[in-house]
Amino acid sequence: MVVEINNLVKKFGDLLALDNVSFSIKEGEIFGLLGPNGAGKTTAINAMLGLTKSDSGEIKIFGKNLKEYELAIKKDIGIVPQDIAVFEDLTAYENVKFFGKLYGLKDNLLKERIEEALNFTGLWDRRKEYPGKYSGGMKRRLNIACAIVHKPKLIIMDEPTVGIDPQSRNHILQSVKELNRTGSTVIYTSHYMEEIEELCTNIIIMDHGRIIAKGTKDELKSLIAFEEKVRIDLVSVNFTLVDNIKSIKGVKEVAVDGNSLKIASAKGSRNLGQIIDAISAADSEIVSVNVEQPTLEGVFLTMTGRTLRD
Amino acid sequence: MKMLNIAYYTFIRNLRDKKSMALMLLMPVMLILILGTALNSAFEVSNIEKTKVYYINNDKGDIAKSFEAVIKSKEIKEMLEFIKTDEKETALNDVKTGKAAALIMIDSGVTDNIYSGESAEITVFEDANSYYGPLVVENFVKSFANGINAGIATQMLGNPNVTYGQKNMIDNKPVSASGKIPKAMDYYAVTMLVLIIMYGSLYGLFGFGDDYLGSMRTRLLSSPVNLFSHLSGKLIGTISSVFAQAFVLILFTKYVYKANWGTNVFEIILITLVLCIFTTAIGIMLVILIKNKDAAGALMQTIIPVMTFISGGYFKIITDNKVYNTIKMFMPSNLGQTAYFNSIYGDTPDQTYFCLAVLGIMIAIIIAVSSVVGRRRLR
Repeated sequence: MVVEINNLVKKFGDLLALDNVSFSIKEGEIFGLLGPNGAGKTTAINAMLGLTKSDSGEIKIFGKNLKEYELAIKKDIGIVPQDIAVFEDLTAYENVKFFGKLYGLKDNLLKERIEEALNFTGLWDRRKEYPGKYSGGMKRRLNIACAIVHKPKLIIMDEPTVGIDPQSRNHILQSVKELNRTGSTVIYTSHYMEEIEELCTNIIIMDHGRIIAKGTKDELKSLIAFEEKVRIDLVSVNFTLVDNIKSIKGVKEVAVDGNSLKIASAKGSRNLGQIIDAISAADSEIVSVNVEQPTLEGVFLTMTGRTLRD
Repeated sequence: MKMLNIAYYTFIRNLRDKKSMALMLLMPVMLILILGTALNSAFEVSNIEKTKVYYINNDKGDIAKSFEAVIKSKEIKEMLEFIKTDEKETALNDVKTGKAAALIMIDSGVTDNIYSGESAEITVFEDANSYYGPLVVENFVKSFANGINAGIATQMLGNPNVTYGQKNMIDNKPVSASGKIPKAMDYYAVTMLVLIIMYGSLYGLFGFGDDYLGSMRTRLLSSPVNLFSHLSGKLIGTISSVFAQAFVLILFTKYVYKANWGTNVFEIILITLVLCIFTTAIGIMLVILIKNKDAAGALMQTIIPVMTFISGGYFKIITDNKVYNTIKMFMPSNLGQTAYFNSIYGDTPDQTYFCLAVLGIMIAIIIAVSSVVGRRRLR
């Protein structure tokens, strides 16, 4: 295990920021931390970096206890903070160089790593410019370059795509995959469930300092897959058709929305063919069929009664 | 190495900050030129006319002899012109009309009265419309009476050979030595240098605030560098940048404005370095205590001009007000100015090193407070 966290508790006054949090992360995975703002994601990360002293619990990274081996552990961690953390009065090259040196790189190795990091983030050609001249997306990429210059074994990315354009977001998501492919374990936090779904193999969902669910994407989705939903758009709808569909085995509910039917069936009913046959028999023309899949957003909504962006 | 890396980049970043650079270099260069030219006349020394004082000495004993001896001493003759008279009315009339500052009357039998333990008085008639002359006369008579009292008291304790000897009756410590007196340009070269070094606290304050209380905190403190190296690097880098700017200002005023920086280069460098350490440390302490760099910056930008004003940085303030003088004495700006002036003009290095020692104690307290509070705030 790259990370093992056991029964972590952190209070800020009366606020319980981390409530007995436990999870572990295997080497080579992209691990997702999903939750709304204030869920405790950043507190958990700060605790892993030794920036927040936990009230109780144990953190082991690379098999070593964080309290005892903090500096040694930090050598192999790269952090991409939530807020852009680059020096505006140093060029992109100097920024990456500064952080490379903090991680002990020097001479030719330092130069090679700076070039690699800036090439990886697509900033090599603009390395002599100050970040003030960069777009928001480019600053985010420089933020990543500073975190990966020392080739860390574990990269922690705390909401790295906040407030950027779709193109830069895509670039960053591809970068995360590439970093993982080249051997880094990645912890990725976000309140954008689409990103977590796209990137992460294992996920924990946090809310109010607690882990409310954990597992793979499919495991989490199966938690709420009590029924299967299908939406069928038709040229016209009549009540006889609705009654016929309701009589099909497994169908629990049929709702009419204009010329659309929203049909909920019991999980594993496998009745879509029968529904389409019923529509054909009623001489109604199908415009489109959409099978609705459970999402992590749905998981969160089901478990908390709130959406991620509430 | 990591500490030096932090120090180096702090230094580079500070020097690239054009706004601060303008404040630190252009502002004092302009102010020295403006104040040094406009207020030059205020620093010109004019001959002060001696204060005319009448005295009537009716005593025949030791007191009368001592008085006559004292008024003939060189120090007193430089300031007061004593005219012996027997015509009290004429003398009083001259005092009233401002022709003389005072009339001192020593009654007959003063010596006998003192030796017999009775009260004896030396009467002073002053010009009520004048300030300076009567003040000097009053101080002179008080010092004389104190000297007499001390002499008598010692005699009563069994030492009959004590005679009243006149010592420095007037505490006069002008900022001058070797016949040199600072011109306005010299004066403002020093006070404006101290002013901009004090503004250097903003480098410490904002530099530390930005890096360790803002968004950069997570990235910096999650690196494999211990807290001591972080803080030391930041401190060294900031001190170096303030010192470099101060040094440029010294060279500029010395070679362009021909300001007098004395001959003791070591002392000037030492004073500058100590002030730079002080100002950086206090900036860091303030932001650690307040936890808000903007609020701490606003407070510092208010304190610095007030401190400079009290220390006489903009213009010399001479007053006998004890509260003011006590506050001024421990103002860091004043300690810096006094250290510089004594190094350049004074012949008392003790005063320079005393000021540096006080600043050193202040620095130790500031660093101790910053370390204790900072350790909690950064974790």
